[in-house]
Amino acid sequence: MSREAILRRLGGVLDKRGARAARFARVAGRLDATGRTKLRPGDREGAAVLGRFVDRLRALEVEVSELPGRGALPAAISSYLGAAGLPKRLRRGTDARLDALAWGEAPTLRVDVGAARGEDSTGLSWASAAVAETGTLVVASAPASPTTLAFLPDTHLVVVDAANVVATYEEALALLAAPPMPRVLNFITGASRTADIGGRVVMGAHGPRRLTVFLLNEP
Amino acid sequence: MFRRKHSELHVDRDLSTPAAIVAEARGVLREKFLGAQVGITGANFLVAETGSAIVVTNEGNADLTMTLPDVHIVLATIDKVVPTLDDAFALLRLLARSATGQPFTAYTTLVTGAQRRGDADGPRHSHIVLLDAGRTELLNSDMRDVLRCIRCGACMNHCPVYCSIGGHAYASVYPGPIGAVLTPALAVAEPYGATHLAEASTFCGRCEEVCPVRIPLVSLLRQWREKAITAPRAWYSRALLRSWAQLASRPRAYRALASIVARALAHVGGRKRYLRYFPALSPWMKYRDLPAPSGRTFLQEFERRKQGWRR
Repeated sequence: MSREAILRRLGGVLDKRGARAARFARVAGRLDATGRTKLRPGDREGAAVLGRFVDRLRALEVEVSELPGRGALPAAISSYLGAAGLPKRLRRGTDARLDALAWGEAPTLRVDVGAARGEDSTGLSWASAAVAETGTLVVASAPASPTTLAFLPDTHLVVVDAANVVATYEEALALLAAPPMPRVLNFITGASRTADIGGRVVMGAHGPRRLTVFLLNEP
Repeated sequence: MFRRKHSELHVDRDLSTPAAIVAEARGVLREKFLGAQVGITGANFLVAETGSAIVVTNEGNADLTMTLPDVHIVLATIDKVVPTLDDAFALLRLLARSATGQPFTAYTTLVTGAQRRGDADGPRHSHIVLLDAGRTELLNSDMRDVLRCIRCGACMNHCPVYCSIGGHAYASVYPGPIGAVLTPALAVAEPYGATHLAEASTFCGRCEEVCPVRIPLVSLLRQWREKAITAPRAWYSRALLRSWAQLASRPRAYRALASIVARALAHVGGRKRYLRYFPALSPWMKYRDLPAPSGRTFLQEFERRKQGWRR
């Protein structure tokens, strides 16, 4: 009803400015992956991509911990929380890669599984990809990867595979599994912040105050 | 305002720093986020090829809004639709840099529908409400270039007028140069009601220079001024303009009247030299005092000083 009326009116106005067939062809060309613009300000290759990524993270005041493999995660997380004076509690998704880790090696760390709750202090996510261009982490939602882990806790820890660090957003999107789109795709660039009061940046506006990356250099 | 609105918190708490104010807002609003049943957000972009909405914040407030409640509603106008993800990311690159100078906004979220089978969180229902809200009309007009706007605010931040008078003076959700163009264009019911906003410009052109999507703001502002001149006017406005024209074309009469008015206002201004009330300016005077004239007109003052130089 009103949708048709709105679209008919819109179509009528557009028709005045150019033939319908030509317009449709232009849209089809745009949707065709081969006809797309390539805006690649961050193009870099190989080790330069990783270097750029870590530089951007540090500029965003994101702490970066490089680990030789995922097996080192429980101990690294436990000692990170201890050194930062944070509660030794962690909330994570049901991700099989995390399930397989020997959490028992970090006996002082309490690990809860599932979506985050208001009282959780630290959330752990595994990024699908990361973008060197701006130090951006790409976290896709899934049953094993609840979105709330990235927003409710005060501290957000993100695991990134060095092999999944790419130069640009477009490459990160290409790394994701084929359609459909994940329900939520979070492009995270630094922790939550606001400059709404007096123009001064304050961290932890509504989301996490702290963002920390564990970069896995697995062979 | 915080002390008045958050009366349940301790009266003598410290609110002297931005960090303390942010922490209090976070605490109070967190409860509201956790308790809400419906979350409403806008969208910075809507992507046709995937059906996704893209919402951008530095705080993460939109993410709590769209993740915690049972229902998520996106309200957005049709000009937010872009064809592909690639188009959206090209614009996202421009948005953060132009808005705050950040390389990328902290949270850029692509949301595509409601909770899926097995998901541990997310809303159970999701809706996108597409609004026309005057956009088709705008597309059909000579102002269509404004539909490219991505709401970065660069034009405001570089506008000398906006920086002096602030956003509230525009009496619209769209302040600054883009507001001066957009507000009258969207006021379908009263098309000439907000054209005066275009007068608040020096035409310095900085807005146009910094606009990442190259909206010709200066010529659009000029168009509004031209429209305002040819617009039908009320009888009192016509009468006022006519008598002004009469007076302005008679220098002797103008000087005589100006001299009387300047002296009268200086007298009213008193020792503080401020006017608290002025006929027809009461809405403006509600928050401001008007500096009173010195008692002499510009020409009288000029003559006086010229004599001083000769001496």
